[in-house]
Order: sequence, then C-alpha cells, then structure tokens
Amino acid sequence: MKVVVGKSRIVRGGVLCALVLAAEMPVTASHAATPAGPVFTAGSGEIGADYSVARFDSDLTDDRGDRYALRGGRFLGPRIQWEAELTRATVREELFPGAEKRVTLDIAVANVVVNFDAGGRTVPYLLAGIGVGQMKLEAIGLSSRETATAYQIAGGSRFFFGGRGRVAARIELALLANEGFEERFVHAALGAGLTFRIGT
Amino acid sequence: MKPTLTLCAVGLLIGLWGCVSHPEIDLQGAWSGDWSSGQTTGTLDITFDGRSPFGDMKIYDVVLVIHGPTCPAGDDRATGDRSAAFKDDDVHIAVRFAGAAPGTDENIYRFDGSLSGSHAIIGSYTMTSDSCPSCTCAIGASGTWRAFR
Repeated sequence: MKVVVGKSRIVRGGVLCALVLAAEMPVTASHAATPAGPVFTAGSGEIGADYSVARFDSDLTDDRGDRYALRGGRFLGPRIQWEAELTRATVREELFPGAEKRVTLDIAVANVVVNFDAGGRTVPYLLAGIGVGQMKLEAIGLSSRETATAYQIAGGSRFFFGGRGRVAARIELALLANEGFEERFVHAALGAGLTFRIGT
Repeated sequence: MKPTLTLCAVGLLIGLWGCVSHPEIDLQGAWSGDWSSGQTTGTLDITFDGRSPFGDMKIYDVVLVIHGPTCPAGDDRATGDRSAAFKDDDVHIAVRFAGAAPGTDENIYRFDGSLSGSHAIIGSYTMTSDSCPSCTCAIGASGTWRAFR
C-alpha cells in the first residue's frame, strides 16, 4: 500500500485563512504564558497545522491514510474559541501497478473549542464542528464525487513552550463523519501539530 | 367528470411508477464469452464474487480464465482481489495472470467494458504491464471481449 498526499488546495486555503486572521488580530504586546496566568484572552487568536494518521471507514478501505489540517481561530474568552479548519484526508491502495483505489476527503468545518485549564501551559480541549465535506472515490479508473455535510468531534491537548508561551505542540484524537452516497462514513485520526498564538 | 377521472388515473400511475424501485444490477456470478486480438480469437470465463460497496460503485473479486487456439489443452488464469469496479454501466477490471515472477510488475491486464442490458458486457482489454511471459493463449497486448450471463 502506498500513500499519496495532495495538498495544494488546502495549503492555498490555509494561507488565505492565516492572512485573514493575521489581518484581524490586534497588534498588542504579548503576555508571557505562565502556569498562573491566562494563556488565552478574548480577541486573541491562534493558527496551526497538524498531521494525523487516519483510519478510514471500513466500508471504504482497511488501509490507513494521511490527514493534513490547517486551522485558525479566535478566542471568545479564556475557555471558548471558534476555529475554522480545512482538512484533507487521503488513502491510496494499489491493487496492481496501474490499478488503484483511492479515497480523498476534503472537509471545511467550523469548530467550537472548549479549553480546560486555560491558565496553564498544558491546555486540554474538546471541540465539535460542523461543515461541508467532499468525498472523492476512485477505483480501477472509475470515480465518484459527492459533497455533503461533515461533522467532527475531537479532543486533545496543547503543550505551550518557550519563554513567551506563544507556541504549542498539539496532539489530537478526532472522529470525523461525512455524509455521501446515501451513507454516513466515520473516520478516526490521531495526530500532532503546532499551534501559534496570535495577539494578546 | 371523465376527464377528471382520467387525470386522477394518470396521476396515480405516475405516482406508482415513482414508487417502483428499479432492480439493482449486480455482476456477481459467472459470465462466459469470447475475446479477439487481431485474427486470434478465443473464449473466456469471468467470475465476479465478494461484492462490496464503494460509494455508488460496487467492487468485486474477479477470476478470469482465458481459452485460446494456442492453449487448446489448457488456459490462462488471472485473478484480482477487489479489483473489479462497477458503476452505472461501466465495468473496469484489473487482473494479474498467474505465473508472474515475484517482485515483478508483469502479467497485468485491464479489461474495461460497458454493460449492455443486464446480461452482456462488451469492451476492450489492454496489457498494462510491459509483458506477460506467462500468457500462453495469445491474447496479445490488446483486443476486444464480450461476456454474457
């Protein structure tokens, strides 16, 4: 099984998202994150990117694939933030040279994130999101594509490091679901990435 | 009164027609047919098994047995696990003939076709690997095929 990743569209979307967020963020002096002080304040923002190993719905494939995500959001308070996320998950199963099955799932979701222990350097969180997902299926030269509702629930933690506490490593376990072809597909992903705090 | 009744009857018929689900076509099972490559012709048997859904496609395991003039006492046997895809009227099959040397990409063919009605597949085939040293029935690098149920 070989895994191939296409990510040009998601990268373009992510760059655009990051530019919009950066333009929106007020330029103010940053606070150092300390275990005693709040890491997040209303109006500040966050951008990040992560990679996950994805286990696709067993109706699609038994192979594992890759998931790439770009995300950016804004804090409504120390605990609550909204987040826009663009993600692509793909898996390619080579049956014979020149004959393959491929699943590609592009999802754009709006997440609501609940942060726990927002004043610490380790910030666990839960999120839930809804959006739209396009699933493309290819098999032996035939292909199908359908766009429908997509959902996500996930949990993980950020681990802020550095003197100013503006960068965090992030781990996340996510369950994604998308509608399509009169079915609901559920996929799991376990991943890690980096998050950058923007603004105050 | 009569036009009203007629309209009601027509409406009812249209409504009933909309409720009738068209039978789903399934390739599962044994098919027999023939192939030709230039002046060479022969027969073939295809078996589709292990149907599984893949979105709006169906995926099958496939066994293809080729008979030809250069292998009168035998045949060439090809298989593929989950390597036949069926969507609408299109049938795409990828198979590898037995006897390929380990670690080599040889003996691989694509058989593509269209369903005609629900009992015939008509299409063409191409060798997608560089060679097929195990092929003894002279199906060549490309040709046409038909299979019937």
